Amino acid sequence: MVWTTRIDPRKWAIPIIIIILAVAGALIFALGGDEFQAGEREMLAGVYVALASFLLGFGIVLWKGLTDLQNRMVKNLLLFTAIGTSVLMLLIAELTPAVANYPDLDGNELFFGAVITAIVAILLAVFLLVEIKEALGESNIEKIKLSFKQLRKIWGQYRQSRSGMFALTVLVIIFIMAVVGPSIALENPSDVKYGGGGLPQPPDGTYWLGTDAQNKDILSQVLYGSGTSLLVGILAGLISLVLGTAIGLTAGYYGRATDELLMRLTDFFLVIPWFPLMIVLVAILGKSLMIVIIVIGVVSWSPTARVVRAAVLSIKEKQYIERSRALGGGTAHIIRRHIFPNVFPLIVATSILLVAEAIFSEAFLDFFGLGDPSVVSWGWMLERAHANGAMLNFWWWWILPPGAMIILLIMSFYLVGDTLDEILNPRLKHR
Amino acid sequence: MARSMRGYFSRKLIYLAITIILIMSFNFILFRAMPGDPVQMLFGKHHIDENSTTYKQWNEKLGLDQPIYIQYIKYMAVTFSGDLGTSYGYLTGVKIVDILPTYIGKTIFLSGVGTVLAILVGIIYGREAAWRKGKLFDKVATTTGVILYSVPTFLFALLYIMIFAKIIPDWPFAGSESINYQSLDAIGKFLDLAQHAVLPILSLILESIAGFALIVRSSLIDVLTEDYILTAEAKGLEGRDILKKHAMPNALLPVVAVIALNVGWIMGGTVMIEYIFTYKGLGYLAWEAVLTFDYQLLQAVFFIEILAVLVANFIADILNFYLDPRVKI
Repeated sequence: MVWTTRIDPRKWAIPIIIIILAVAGALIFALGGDEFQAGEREMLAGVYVALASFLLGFGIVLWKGLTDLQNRMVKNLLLFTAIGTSVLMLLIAELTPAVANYPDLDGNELFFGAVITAIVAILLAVFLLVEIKEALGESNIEKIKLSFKQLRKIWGQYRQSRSGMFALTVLVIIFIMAVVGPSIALENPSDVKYGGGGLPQPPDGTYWLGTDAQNKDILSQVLYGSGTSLLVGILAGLISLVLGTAIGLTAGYYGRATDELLMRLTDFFLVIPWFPLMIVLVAILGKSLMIVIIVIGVVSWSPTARVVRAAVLSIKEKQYIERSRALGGGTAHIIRRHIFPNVFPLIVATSILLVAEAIFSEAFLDFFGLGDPSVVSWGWMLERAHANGAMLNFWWWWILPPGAMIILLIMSFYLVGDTLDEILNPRLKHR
Repeated sequence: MARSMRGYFSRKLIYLAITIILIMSFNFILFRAMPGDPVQMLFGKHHIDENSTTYKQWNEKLGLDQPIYIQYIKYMAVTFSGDLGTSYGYLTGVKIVDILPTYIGKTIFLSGVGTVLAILVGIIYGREAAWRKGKLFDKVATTTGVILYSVPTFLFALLYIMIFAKIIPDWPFAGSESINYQSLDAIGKFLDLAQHAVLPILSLILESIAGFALIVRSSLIDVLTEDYILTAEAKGLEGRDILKKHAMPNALLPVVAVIALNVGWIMGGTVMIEYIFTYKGLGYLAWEAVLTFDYQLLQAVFFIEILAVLVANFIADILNFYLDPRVKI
């Protein structure tokens, strides 16, 4: 389809809408004052980052000094940064209200946040599709069709695995719990509750999973806690994945002294026991959710680096890399176009396993009394149950729900990772 | 063609030494980089004035008045001479080296017995599953393994306590021995220790067992498809003989590598277990140190735990040298 007018409305409408949204957000931000919730603030931060990238991108594109190819590359790069940051921020925005301690947060505000998030997400997706179609030629569209076909094939294989499908279902359910949980929960676990008290009550009609020693609903705590585990798991897994991949790629590609240095560092982190290290780091840096996430991420990247490095070493010597170099391909080009796509399947499976490890670590830190005391999580529930003597008194309804949820979540991530690993890295196929 | 044994060992020894020095430096930097003034931490933030004589005395006592590189050299020298500092917090004024041995002994007991049991049971479990690959036993065993592998160690402990407290209310859940331990005879002492250790060890090893079993299973399934197994079968060997004499030795190679890493895992596990069962080992000490802001103690415990893991890795490397001929090439 050829647009004869100089100004393509499709191209300009969406940035303009985003600008309007951002201005509206700034107004709400300015007028809302203290009533504004932190989750929505992060969401706005995401929109601002997106906006800044767009403006920067358009500025560069309008500047005449660039060739067509450079133009397109800059635009795509900024686009992906913008989308990536926004999605990350949206994720945080969606999940933080569920985990942070906001006593005055009610269903309406959550609903408002969710609607804005959804609108922005859809707009970004549409924009991404339009941009990609614009930026890519006919042959590239064929390529994209092919990769879609590949995805469908992987999904087809994935569907064959019963344990994989089970795990995926569990994950989806827990994700839904995390998003809608705070709206449907009976009460906010952070609210101070007077009266009642005394002994925990077993499950009954009002409290489906019973109450704890402060007469608070266990089910509400489980619902609020699901967001924490997912948030910590995904973000910490992401940090560890990025660190591991970057270090593995660098070590494998450059070899020699770089390799030796980075691999000694990797060995160092591989050898030191994770839990004591995490305890020491969190004890020193302070008990906050962000610090827990960063510490888990920073401590656990070493296995990924090992895997990535080994893969890079075997790919690096292939002939097509040499050919690409002979044709004038630079380092960045070779890593991005030839090495990374080959390493990618390995990373996908590993990253999902990393998420499982991160959830495990978070539960442990919380249980050890090093979690963020203001954040409701499953590990925190178990810590309180333990401190109140729930085990010795056989208050099973206080221990089993968070315990079972932790096991289910970790197991699901393991199983999904395992299934994907079997599909993407088929070692076992000949049997 | 073969790299000499001495060369291999000396290379590993040098790596070990470098890693230890790195860890010590890391330890030094970490505890100097923490936010807050150590002396103020000791007394509580608002209870001591920065200009008071007590503050200056303590600053001098902890060596904080000197420039950072002197502190570093001093720290390295002192640590190398075997002095791990003085505890101010959990046990005030006690030399950490003096109290550590009893705690270390308990942790070594728990993790040692735990590791050995985990390896033995894990290998048998994995072997039987692999031998019956695809059959009902294998399916049940693998599913159980995956579930057990997903259970955090501390959850096992909590569940055991809950179940045991219901069924056998008199079972001891805290400590490593009874109060009247000293008055018991030899058999009584042994039984008492065993009774206190059963639950901690059981909770410690189930996850490791599952981990070992899954590794042994996949590695053995790999080995069983090799051609030389077919040759052995063609020679007329019985199934079980092939498994024991030909398949298992090769299948166990990856396990050795995992054992070393597992030591670190078990160390982490003991931290949780000792905390739950108030079993007074290193992990319990770490918890007390965190609770009382006793950073000297925490630093010492951290250092000892890492040292243990490093030595375990070194031993595993040497073992690997004897077991796997490929390393020599």
